[in-house]
Amino acid sequence: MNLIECKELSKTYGKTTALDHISLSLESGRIVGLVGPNGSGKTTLIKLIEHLLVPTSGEILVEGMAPGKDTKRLVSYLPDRDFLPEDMKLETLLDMYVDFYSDFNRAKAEEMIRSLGIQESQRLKKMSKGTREKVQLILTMSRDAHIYLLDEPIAGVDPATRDYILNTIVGNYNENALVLISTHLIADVEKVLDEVVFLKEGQVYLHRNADDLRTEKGMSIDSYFREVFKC
Amino acid sequence: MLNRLLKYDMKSYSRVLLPLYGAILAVAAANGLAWRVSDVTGGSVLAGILTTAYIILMFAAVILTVLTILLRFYKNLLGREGYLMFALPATVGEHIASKVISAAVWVVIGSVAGLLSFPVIMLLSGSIRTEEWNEMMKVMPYLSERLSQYTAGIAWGVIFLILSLIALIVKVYASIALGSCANEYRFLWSVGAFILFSIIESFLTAGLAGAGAKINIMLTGSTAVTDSAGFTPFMMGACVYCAVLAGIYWFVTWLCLDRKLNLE
Repeated sequence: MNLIECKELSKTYGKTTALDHISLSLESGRIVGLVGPNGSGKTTLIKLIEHLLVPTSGEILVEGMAPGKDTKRLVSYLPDRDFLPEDMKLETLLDMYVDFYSDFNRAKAEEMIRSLGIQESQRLKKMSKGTREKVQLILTMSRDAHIYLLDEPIAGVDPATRDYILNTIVGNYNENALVLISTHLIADVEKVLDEVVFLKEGQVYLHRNADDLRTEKGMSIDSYFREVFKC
Repeated sequence: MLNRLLKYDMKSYSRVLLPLYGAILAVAAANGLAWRVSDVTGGSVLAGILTTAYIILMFAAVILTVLTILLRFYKNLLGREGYLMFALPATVGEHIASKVISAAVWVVIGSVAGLLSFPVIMLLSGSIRTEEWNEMMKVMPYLSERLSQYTAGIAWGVIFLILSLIALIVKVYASIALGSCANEYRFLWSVGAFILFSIIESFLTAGLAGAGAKINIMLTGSTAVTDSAGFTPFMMGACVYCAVLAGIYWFVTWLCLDRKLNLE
């Protein structure tokens, strides 16, 4: 079943074209890597799915619906930056997620938080950057969502934290869901990918099964990426 | 969803404003008592200090309330917290409604706290003795009877006050939302938008007031709206005007947040 469908989707910012007539279908039960260099349109596409942006032309459908209030119930989104209120205590944040998301599994989130040795009474501003990244990921992956949108989940963190993040993603997502991971750090992520989408200058360069691509090209996806996007 | 958004907005405001408004009442009470003591002892230094503290607190309350309203909207919806808030399964209209309602409620709470502080000072300081206060309260039924012919107009007047407060808040939000559409100098664009809205509004208000005066002259031969027959329609008209303004500003805010969202 197609969970995300883009039909001739375009997004421009003034004279800059971020996405150029993209047509793409992503199915359930897959971990898909959305890869491309900086400025290729990855974050723009994710924001369009999450209705943080509206298309300039074309159409985007999430489970057959235009992005909005109803699709946000189905989508668990992790932005590429700190987004949680700094002054909030973690326990208040957990209350908030329980209040707003009927699919949020508080017990699972609390277990993961405990395993990291984080106190629920702690305010987010007292946590290190790496710990906040982990908390953000835990909150995102503790939802039983249909679609997980993870925008650069491992950028800006140390290698040990990267492994933790990837293990958390693989170990906690709903297996019938679609996981869309936007990244330019392909070497770390490619081992978990079922499919890969290359975005180049706002267009879909390729959309292939990860194993098939590696077999066809005789190299890792990271190596092929470097070949395609070499400066 | 609106109830849940309101819950967190009200909580966020209460962390800053509840202690502040509580402090105003506490300092007012202390001030009143200090003046009563100074009447007895003859020394007024403490009373003077507390009066100064009370005045400073009142100014601080106004400034802090305004700042909290502005910052809550900007930080929570247009700063990085916007990534959390706009990912929630709520419409843009619900987000705006929550911010407007919570801001209006806290302005009313702050106004009530400020207004209550005056009788607190007067009663505790002995400026008005309890007997005098009771005599004043005895006048209330007489006043109520005299004002009863204006009941409808007064009710509309209260609605007008609430609507004009809401219109002002949504105007501020519309200005901030418009400013956020720019990539640079967002604050300046927001201030510019607010000034522009205010200028347009003042021309509209003057025009409508002039038209209203002409209609009143045609109907009553006078520009006065002091009698009950004229006061109620006047207040109703003012309410409709505020509601229309609030609706326009609401639409501008919604348009910016739904179609032109430009998070940090």
